[in-house]
Amino acid sequence: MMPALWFFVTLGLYAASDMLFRATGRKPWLHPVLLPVIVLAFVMSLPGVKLVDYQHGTATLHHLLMAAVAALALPLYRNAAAIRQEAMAVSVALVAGSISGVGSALAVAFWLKAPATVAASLANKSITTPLAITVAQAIGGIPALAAAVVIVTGLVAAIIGPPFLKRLGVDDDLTAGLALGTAGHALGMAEAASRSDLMGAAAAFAMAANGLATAFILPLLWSMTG
Amino acid sequence: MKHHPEHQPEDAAEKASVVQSVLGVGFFLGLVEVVDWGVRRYGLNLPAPVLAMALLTLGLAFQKRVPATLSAGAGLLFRLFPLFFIPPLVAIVAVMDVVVRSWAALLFAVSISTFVGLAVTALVFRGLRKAQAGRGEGTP
Repeated sequence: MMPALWFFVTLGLYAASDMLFRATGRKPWLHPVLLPVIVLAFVMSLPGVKLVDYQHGTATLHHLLMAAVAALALPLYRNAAAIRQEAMAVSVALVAGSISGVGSALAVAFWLKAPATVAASLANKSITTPLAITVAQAIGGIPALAAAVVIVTGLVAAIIGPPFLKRLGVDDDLTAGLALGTAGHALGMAEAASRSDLMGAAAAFAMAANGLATAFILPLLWSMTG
Repeated sequence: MKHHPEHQPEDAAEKASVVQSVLGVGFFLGLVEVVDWGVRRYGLNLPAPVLAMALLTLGLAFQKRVPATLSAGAGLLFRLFPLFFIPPLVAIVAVMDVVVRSWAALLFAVSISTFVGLAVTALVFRGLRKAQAGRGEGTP
């Protein structure tokens, strides 16, 4: 298959999946990312199909993802006043959410006797992929696994995050956005941006602040604990 | 093909909106490329898109307005945001051997910690907000 065709296959699968998602009343388990990923991952495991061809063919989507992250400056600017107004509560909640997320992931990994490289790859689970790869390299993790963990974490947060937060009684966009951006980085932020401008802005701020703070602090903490 | 005259202004507005969206997306793509070049040039250990987002936020705050082109471009990108995550998720097949070997640790660590992270962030923020509001009400 020509690499360029993978772009159209991905686009077609996404369009069909998105239509199904909307037609069924936005059921979380029919999230439009889920079905194309399952189909394409299965196809990639077939003999003669090369992942590298798929990656070449869909490089445009990678560039557009980077552009979309930069575009989050707009909701961030438009809603800066709402975030600034609650600066103290926002900062403390971000630190608490970040530490508890990383801490619980490591606790489970050590309890289940996961190898040190897997634990180091899990430590980056809530920060955006480019940062996670850099930090994983710095603390002895496996960069490819770190990237996979980050993406799956984001998918879990995007799918279960909104209904879970609703069950917790969270009914305002600022709180939901902060939680989705802190726990689910870019994919959580994408979900938030699709729901409201304020939710997207809060998630963008949380993702950037959590990612940058983790990138600076985690390598230091990791080297101190040996 | 016949054109209804009453549809012409709508068609023109739609075309202008499409052009603005495409130009806006082009701007964001260019911005990330320029920032990426700067990151490589100066050996900064930061992701170019996050840095581009921070710089653009500062730029907008300085300019005190959002150009319509950027607004249209961002709108288009946000509508398609989930689509852009499909290739990195498919790439997980490249590390499938490690995933299969440590599946239990990965599954439980990722799911439990995501619930914990979501709940702690939301509940701490809500608690502090309530406490601040309470203090505000108590202030004479």
